[in-house]
Amino acid sequence: MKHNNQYRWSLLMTLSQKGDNDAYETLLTELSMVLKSYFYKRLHNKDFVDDLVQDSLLNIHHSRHTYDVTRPFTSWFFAIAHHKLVDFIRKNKLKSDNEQYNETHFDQLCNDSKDNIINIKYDLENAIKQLPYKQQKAIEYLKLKGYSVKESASQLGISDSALKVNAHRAYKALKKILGTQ
Amino acid sequence: MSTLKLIKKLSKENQKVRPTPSTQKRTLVWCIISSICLLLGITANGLSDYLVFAFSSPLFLLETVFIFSTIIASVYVALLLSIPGRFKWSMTIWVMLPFLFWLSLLLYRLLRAPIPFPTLSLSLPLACISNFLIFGLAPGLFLFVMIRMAAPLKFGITGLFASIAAFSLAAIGLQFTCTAVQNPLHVILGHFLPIIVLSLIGIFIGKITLKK
Repeated sequence: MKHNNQYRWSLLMTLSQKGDNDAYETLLTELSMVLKSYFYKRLHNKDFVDDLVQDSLLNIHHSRHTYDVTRPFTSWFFAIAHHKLVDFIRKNKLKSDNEQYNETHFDQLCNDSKDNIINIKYDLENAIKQLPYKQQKAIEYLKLKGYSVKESASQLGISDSALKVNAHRAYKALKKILGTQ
Repeated sequence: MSTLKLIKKLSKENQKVRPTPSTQKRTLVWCIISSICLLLGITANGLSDYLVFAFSSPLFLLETVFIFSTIIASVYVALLLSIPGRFKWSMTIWVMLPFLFWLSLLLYRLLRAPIPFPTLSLSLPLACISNFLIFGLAPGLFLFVMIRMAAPLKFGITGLFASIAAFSLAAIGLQFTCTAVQNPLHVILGHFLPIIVLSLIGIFIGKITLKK
C-alpha cells in the first residue's frame, strides 16, 4: 500500500513535471487529503489546517522540479509538509493551553519529523481504512478514542463480546495488511 | 480561495519543468566554475614567493587537502539542503571533520613554531581578509543562486554551508597568494577565523536571500 502510493505519486509527479495537467491535478488532490489529515492530527484546528494545506500545496508547486524520480516521494513530500508545520508554529507561537500547544508538544513534533515515523502513521491510517466498517469502528473507539470496551460497545450499540470479536479480527487484518508490505 | 480552487489554478498553471540535476552534477558544475574564478583571482594577485617552499612541506600540503575536502563536503551538503528531504544532520560531520583537522594542523604548527614566537603584522591579516571577499564573493554568489534555483527549506543552515564552501575556496586562494602562509598565527587569524565569522554571517544572508 505504502509502495503503491509511493509509486503512484512518484509516477504522477513525473508526469506533472512533463506538463501533464490532469496528472498534476490528481496528485495535488490526493496530497491535499494527506496533508489535511497530517496537519489536523497535529494542530486540532480546522482554520489553521486549511491555510497550511494551501501553503504546502503552493510550496510543492514551486518545488516540483526538485523531485527526483529515483528517490522516495514521501520523504520529499513530508519534508515540505513538516517544514510548513514547524514554520507555522514558530510564527504563531502557539503556546497557550487553549490551542493545545506547549514546548513539549513542539519538541515532540520536531522529533516526529523522521520520515519513517510519518510513513508508519500514514500506513496505519490507510490500513485502518481498508478494514470493514465494523472493524474500523472497533479500532476507532478502543484505540483512537481510548474508550473502554463497555463504553465503546454502548456507543456502537453492540454487545461487549461482539466488539471484542470485531477488534480481534481488526488486529489480525491489520497485522496481515501491514505485514505484507 | 478554497483548496479545490487552488488545486485547479495550480494544475492549470503547470508547465513542463526541467528536473533539477543530481547533487553530484551540481557540485561538479560549481567546482568547475569556482576553480575558474579562483584561477583568475590567483592570476590577478600573483603567486606567493613562498609557494615553492610551501609545496615541499607535507604539513602545508595536508592543510591544503583538508581545506579542499571542506570545500567539497560543504558545497555538497549545501546543495543537498536545497532539495527537500535529502539532508540529514549526521552529514554535517563531513564538513566538520576536515575543518577541524585543518584547525588541529594549524595549532600543531603553532605549538611547534620557533621561539621567539612569530611576530604578527596586523596589516597582513587585514589584507588577507579583504582578499577573502575577492576570492569568495563570486563563487559564493553563484552557489547561492544555484541553491535558490532549487527549493531550500532550512535557510540558515544552507547559508552557513554555502558560505563555508565559498570562503574555504577563498582560503585555498590565499594558500597560493599569501606571503605569510608559513606563519601559523597569521593563518589562524587571517585565514581560518574569517571563514568562521563570514560563515556565521552567511546564516543571516541565507535566511534573507534563500526564502522565496
